[in-house]
Amino acid sequence: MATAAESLSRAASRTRTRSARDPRSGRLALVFTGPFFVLFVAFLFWPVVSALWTSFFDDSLVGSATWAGLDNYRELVEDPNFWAAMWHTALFTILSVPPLVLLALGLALLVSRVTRMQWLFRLAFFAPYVLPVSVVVLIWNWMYQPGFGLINSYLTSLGFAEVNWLGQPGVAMVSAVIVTVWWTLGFNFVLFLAGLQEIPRELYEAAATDGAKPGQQLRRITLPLLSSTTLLVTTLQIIHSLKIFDQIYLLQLGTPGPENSTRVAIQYIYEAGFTQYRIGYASAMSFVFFLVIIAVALISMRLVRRAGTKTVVSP
Amino acid sequence: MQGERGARRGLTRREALVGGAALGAAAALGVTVTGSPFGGATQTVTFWHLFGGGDGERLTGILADIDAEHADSDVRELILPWGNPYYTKLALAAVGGSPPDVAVVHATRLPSFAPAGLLEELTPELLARHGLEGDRFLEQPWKSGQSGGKQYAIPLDTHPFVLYYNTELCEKAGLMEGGKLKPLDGETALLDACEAVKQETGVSGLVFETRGVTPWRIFLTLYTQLGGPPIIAAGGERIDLDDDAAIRALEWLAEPNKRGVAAPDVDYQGSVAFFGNQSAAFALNGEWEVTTYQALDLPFGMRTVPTFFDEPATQADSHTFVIPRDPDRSPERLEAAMAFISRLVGKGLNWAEGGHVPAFREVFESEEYRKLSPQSDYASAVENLVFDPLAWYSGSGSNLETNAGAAFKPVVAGTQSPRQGLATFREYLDRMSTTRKPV
Amino acid sequence: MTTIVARRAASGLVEGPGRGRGWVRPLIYAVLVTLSLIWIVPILWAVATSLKPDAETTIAPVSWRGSTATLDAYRVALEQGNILKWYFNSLVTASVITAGTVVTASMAAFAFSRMRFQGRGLMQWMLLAGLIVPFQALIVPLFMQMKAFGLADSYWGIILPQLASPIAVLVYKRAFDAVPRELEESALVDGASMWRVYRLIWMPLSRATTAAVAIFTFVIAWNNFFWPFVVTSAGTLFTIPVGLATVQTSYGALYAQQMALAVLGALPLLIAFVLFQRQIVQGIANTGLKG
Repeated sequence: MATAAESLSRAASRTRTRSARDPRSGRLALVFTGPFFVLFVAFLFWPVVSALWTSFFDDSLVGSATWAGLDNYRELVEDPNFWAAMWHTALFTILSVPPLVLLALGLALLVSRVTRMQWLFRLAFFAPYVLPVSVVVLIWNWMYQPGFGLINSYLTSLGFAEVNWLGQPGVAMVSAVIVTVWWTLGFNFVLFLAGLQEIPRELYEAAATDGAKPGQQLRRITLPLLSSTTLLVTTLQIIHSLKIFDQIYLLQLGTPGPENSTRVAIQYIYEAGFTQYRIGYASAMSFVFFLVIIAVALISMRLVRRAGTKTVVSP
Repeated sequence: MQGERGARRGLTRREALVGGAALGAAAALGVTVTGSPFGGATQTVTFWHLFGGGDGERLTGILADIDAEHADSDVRELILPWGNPYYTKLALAAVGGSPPDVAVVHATRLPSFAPAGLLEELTPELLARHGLEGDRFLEQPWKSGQSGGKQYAIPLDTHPFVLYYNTELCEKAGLMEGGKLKPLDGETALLDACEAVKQETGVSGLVFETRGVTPWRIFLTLYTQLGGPPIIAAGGERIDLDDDAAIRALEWLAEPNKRGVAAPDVDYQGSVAFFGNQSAAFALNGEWEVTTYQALDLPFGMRTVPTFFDEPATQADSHTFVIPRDPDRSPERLEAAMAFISRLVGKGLNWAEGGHVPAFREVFESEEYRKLSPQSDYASAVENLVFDPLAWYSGSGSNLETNAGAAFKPVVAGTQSPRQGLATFREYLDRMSTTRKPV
Repeated sequence: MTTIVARRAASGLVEGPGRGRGWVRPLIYAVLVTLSLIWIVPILWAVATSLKPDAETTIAPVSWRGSTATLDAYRVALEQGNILKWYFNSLVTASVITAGTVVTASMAAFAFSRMRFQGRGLMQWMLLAGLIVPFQALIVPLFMQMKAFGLADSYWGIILPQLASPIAVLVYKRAFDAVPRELEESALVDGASMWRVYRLIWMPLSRATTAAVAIFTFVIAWNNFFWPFVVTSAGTLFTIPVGLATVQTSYGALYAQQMALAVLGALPLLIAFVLFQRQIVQGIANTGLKG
């Protein structure tokens, strides 16, 4: 390949180089980007605009629409259920992101230190990720049952009291977090593992000959070099957790949970639109929620960019 | 890295992938566009329902029988999950212009369909042509299929709340008489019985689904037994809830836990499993689990819900058949749909074996039905049924049931007082009654 | 691009000489083995339950083995007939989505990477915005849109909104950016059109990237629950996640059957994962997401 490139570049320098500023590029670029952007505008951009438009109407899924101006927005500002739902989403994010990042990092660190059976550990931690949410929920709902559920059965045989995993407010959210960690940790784990593998062994060897202990190597070499990966994983995880719906909805069998404590933002939007038929209101809430996610994402991305410039390891 | 060799191989593989996908897409399109290859003299009738599990199997069997017995019958069945998703999808189909010919609808859900003009009116002539006149059905289920003075639904059954009891465990506690449970009327009788069973056998007394709609259904039963008026009036805009009756009803709901005879917090399936594996002597549920327990060879019986307070009352609903309005439906298809409904109604005895009380008088009063035990043991419940209050947000599996269940659950568990549970419920009702009706 | 597998022996912390820390490595193994077992237990428990007779599933305290091992639950689950249809629907929709995404995203990324054109900056911003948009918040307008097009309750209704994948474009663009310009320039000198350049040179070189994009697109499309759930009512169109969700509430306490269905629902991708573990994990690592 190298020799081919050399000869090609020699040939290129001999003749007139046709740069990509070919006048055909404009029209051609349209052909290349066209299909993607048609789909993008139709199914990502347009719905956002449409949601904004609908949010100004009092629109019913099965009936007519009347102009409502800012009524929907006024209503959601005063709707305690909406803010409770936003809080539940935030709570879920706060509870789920640390384990999903730190535990994944810890496991990746451990697995990167062993030479045998890596395939087994990768398999165990990543396999849940390929399961569809319905399978995950069926299995965990079954395990969370009182009496004959696996977890409570083991708890009682060890002398502890049963836990009402899905029915007690507070606990129900934690149960959903546990399911989510089990299900999606593998993805972050693999990303961290790949990041770890990129760190050249020579750095460690050099530090070891300078007398650095493994703990110091970890702090001075591994973690700093992994920082951009860590921040990226964290950002992605935060955004992903904010969009939580599927597993919580299914674990609670479509209900808002014990004392409505697991109703997350998207669930409330779904209920308003599809079970109460109020799509105007649902659209207004969607839009507000959408802005919140954008804000969080922008802040995180700025942090990532800033951290990404600090990956040089000082000797 | 692999240069031209990789280039050629990569192309072929990707081409195959894209080609395969294109074939798949074409196949998919073909399937959705051409549909069924059937034709001829049979008239296809599309039928949506929400019965799963034992009920679902039974109904599928009944449909197969109908197709076998009638040469002109061709029924296409579609089962959707119970609850809000089913009704939302049915409404959307009706609005979108491609609804099924016949659909099962709970009677209490009619207010979210009929006033919106989504259903075909069943005129007296149409009904008479197929032998489905009103006086051939039990009164209350028939009435529940009306809206604005017109008939829109034909009842198949009514399914009241019942008390299941484990005959062996009750025998040990001395609660049986002549092979059946002694009547347990009065505010404390059932709870005393639970305690007796617990003492004699160590098994917990009463189980019912706490993480769902059952607390609401028990509440409604008790509230009505206390003489409480219909909670909602004027199609959902006025709340007539009697606080005193409501508080007393909620106080009773908190009793099993207080007395230590309650089963743990369970979802619906857990509650079925609990009674099924004999971890509870009594269960409060709808009658539809009878075949589940029979399949387990469980020694059990069923009877009407006790009269805890002043008047007997039992929460119930009715499965009815409606014909969603479809401007493109031909008159022949409409007749076929009605014929299908009358055939289904005729299979009421088979359906009754699944626990439901047949609404068609001929079946209800027949000897074969009366011989079914325990299915006919609670037939007297039809005299004091109380249906969910009528509103667009109410009915079986509706928002009201879910929110009420969620509001009352902490009262059942003892973590909130009846007053608090009532306050939560009232708040929900107030909000819904002032929300603009979407239908 | 390094391979995880090849460098596994070359990474990790190096212990200092003469430190006598022989107990560390066995401890790590012990911790990892324990955690792996705990991680696998739910799946194993589901399988164990599915092999029991239904009536024995609700006995407490639990035991891993029933009185007999029976495939009854599987037989009933398959006889119901629906899961095979769900497999088919999932396969069709996920395949079309994957093929469509690979083609449209790679073409668009090629343009971003190698062409200059008006509106390029704007489009790139839109792309970034598309990364952030929470699909779930757009369910209502998307559904109304599908209804208006008459595509609700059809394969295309399921497929179309899932075809535009900004992240696939970005992954491809990263891969394209890394390829030296000489290759394209020499082909242009020889008179090739950009289209031919795209087909002949870029795509094969990006085979690994295509594998990565195809894999994560397929898995996400296959396992997508919310959108197919909202847009389809006809049971004939249910994909596996949607079909399985209907099982939850509709069976009596028939946990063996539920678990049999869960195992059947998990099987296709699990088998694919076990067989292609290396490529799948590699693919995710290669997306460049690791920073």
